[in-house]
Amino acid sequence: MSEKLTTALCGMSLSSPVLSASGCYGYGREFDKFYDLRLLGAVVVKGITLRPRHGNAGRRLVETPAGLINSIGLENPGVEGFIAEELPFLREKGVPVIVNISGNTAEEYSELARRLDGVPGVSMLEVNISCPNVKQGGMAFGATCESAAGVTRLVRRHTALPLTVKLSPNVTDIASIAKSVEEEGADCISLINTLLGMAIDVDTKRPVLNNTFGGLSGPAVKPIALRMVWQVAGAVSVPIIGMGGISSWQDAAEFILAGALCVAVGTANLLNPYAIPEICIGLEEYVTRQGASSIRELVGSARA
Amino acid sequence: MVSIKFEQGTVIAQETLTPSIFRTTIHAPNIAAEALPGQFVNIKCGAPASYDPLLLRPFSFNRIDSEGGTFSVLYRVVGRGTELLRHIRVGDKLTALGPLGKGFVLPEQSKQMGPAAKPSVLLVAGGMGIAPFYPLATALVTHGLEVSLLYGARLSSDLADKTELKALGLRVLCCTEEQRGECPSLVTDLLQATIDAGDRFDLAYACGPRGMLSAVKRVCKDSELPLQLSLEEHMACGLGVCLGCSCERASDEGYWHVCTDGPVVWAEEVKL
Ligand SMILES: Cc1cc2nc3c(=O)[nH]c(=O)nc-3n(C[C@H](O)[C@H](O)[C@H](O)COP(=O)(O)OP(=O)(O)OC[C@H]3O[C@@H](n4cnc5c(N)ncnc54)[C@H](O)[C@@H]3O)c2cc1C
Ligand SMILES: Cc1cc2nc3c(=O)[nH]c(=O)nc-3n(C[C@H](O)[C@H](O)[C@H](O)COP(=O)(O)O)c2cc1C
Repeated sequence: MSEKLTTALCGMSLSSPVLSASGCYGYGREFDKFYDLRLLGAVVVKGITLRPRHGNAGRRLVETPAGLINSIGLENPGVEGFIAEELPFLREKGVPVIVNISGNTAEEYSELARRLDGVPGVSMLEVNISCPNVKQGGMAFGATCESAAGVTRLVRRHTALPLTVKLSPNVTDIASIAKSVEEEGADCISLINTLLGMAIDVDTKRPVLNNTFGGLSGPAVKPIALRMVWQVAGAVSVPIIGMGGISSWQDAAEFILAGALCVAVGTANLLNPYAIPEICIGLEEYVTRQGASSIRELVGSARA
Repeated sequence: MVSIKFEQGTVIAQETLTPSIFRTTIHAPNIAAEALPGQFVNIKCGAPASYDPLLLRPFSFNRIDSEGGTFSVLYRVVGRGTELLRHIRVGDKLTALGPLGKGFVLPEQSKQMGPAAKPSVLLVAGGMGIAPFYPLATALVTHGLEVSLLYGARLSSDLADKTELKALGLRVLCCTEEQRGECPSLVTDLLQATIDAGDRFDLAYACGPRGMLSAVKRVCKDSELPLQLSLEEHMACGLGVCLGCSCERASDEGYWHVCTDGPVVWAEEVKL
């Protein structure tokens, strides 16, 4: 990789602005078999909770036109399992790791932050206040300015790690939520998590998912995600990790032009294991064609 | 560990077996080289950069020619992906991810099976559950094993691969809903009848709809016949990343993932 894609996020130097989106990349092992993980600016790992979770019962996936509804339910080995079983692999690969954390209660978030603080190999925390697939907590924390600010404040108190707060798109005014987490010390903002959606089986006449609703991702959500990144970029001064439907370098470039410093690729990894390297190559050529020396020069250019 | 390839192959044959069942043969030497019976491949059915449909579609290997660099998939058209797949023209490119998952455990690798001198193996297929059995039967016959197949379908014209499996030297018993009355119309009844008639097997493999698998599991459990199942579940990545294709574990809490823990599992490991 050339210098054209290198960037700096919250004090970390990244080889590229392209990251993995949580839950669509596991802990990196599967993709390491396809390419060198150091191509990514950072691996954002599957959402981690205090204790292991088995995930949701029943069917977990529904395909929609250019989209995917998931109801995984944060299946993960818990923070101790993650530190013991998964983190050493990523450390050895030499790629920065952003740990996505989720709690049922505000206290669980702060406990997770405390546990991960100072753990070698962890570069940053992504506070997921936007998971639509768990019964308690999750998205509820991202639903109002007060609750989003409250979680951010608590987590901030328990870690010296840089914090990014991952926002839910299932709100009326995402910019004001972004502002309130910035005020409480978020160093960065990630958006968007999945949009609440559902599907009904016309034969059984019942919702397909046991939880009725699931999270919609993929190309179908991109215009909404891009609009929200644009709104948040206009409201805060901290950097933004933009995501939602990014499948090509053009998609990634749109988010960067809208004001995202970094982008994260989720669902596209599930369709093409080389999605991220292909996006990196395309972005690099784009920077060259634009006569720029670095992707950083293009951040927010569409806002001029 | 087998290495998984994301490979652009070429469609080299399209066969119409019945108005709704098709076989597509693909030249993709890197995938074909390492494919094993019971494993599967994820196929991009739509045009290369199209989101219609978004996800790749999983299919069992129905033919594997490692030396010739080709494999085939046998499928029923049930929706958008399979409809597009059957219309891809010979000579056109097609992208596939594979080989994926854990395939069938062959008798000599299998601990569950007793020390029979010449093991006798039973295959039970329901509908498109026949798809993975040709490569399995080929391997079993090559090992000199005696193989029987019980095969159920709705119509007798739906009994794809029946002639080819017979030609391998298998004893094949079929049942369809058309011949109701003459013999059992459900493959699980046929299985029960076969066992009641005193036929003895050392190992069984089953593939088909969930309800059938759970009935086969019951019958095999009652007659203490070790059983492997090939499972299907709605799936996205095929790699164990998204955790979408969950299947309840039998013993402890939690889930297997069909794409990496399966698709082939021992029947006693799963709740159906
Ligand atoms: C490991 C594995 C191996 C498979 N092997 C074969 C095979 O060899 N031959 C074959 O014909 N089919 C096989 N299938 C099923 C096949 O993947 C689906 O039929 C196919 O994806 C349907 O795609 P579609 O776009 O045509 O239909 P869609 O429009 O996606 O779906 C049509 C209908 O099929 C159901 N369906 C779709 N995918 C699945 C699935 N994975 N499990 C259960 N139901 C599903 C949908 O709920 C819907 O009712 C396999 C599935 C798995 C997981
Ligand atoms: C299968 C799946 C699992 C996900 N798991 C998580 C998760 O554990 N934590 C989280 O913050 N977001 C999770 N997400 C949301 C993604 O990280 C991302 O925000 C969203 O899917 C939009 O991006 P995309 O369209 O590129 O996938 C998940 C998404 C999918 C599709």
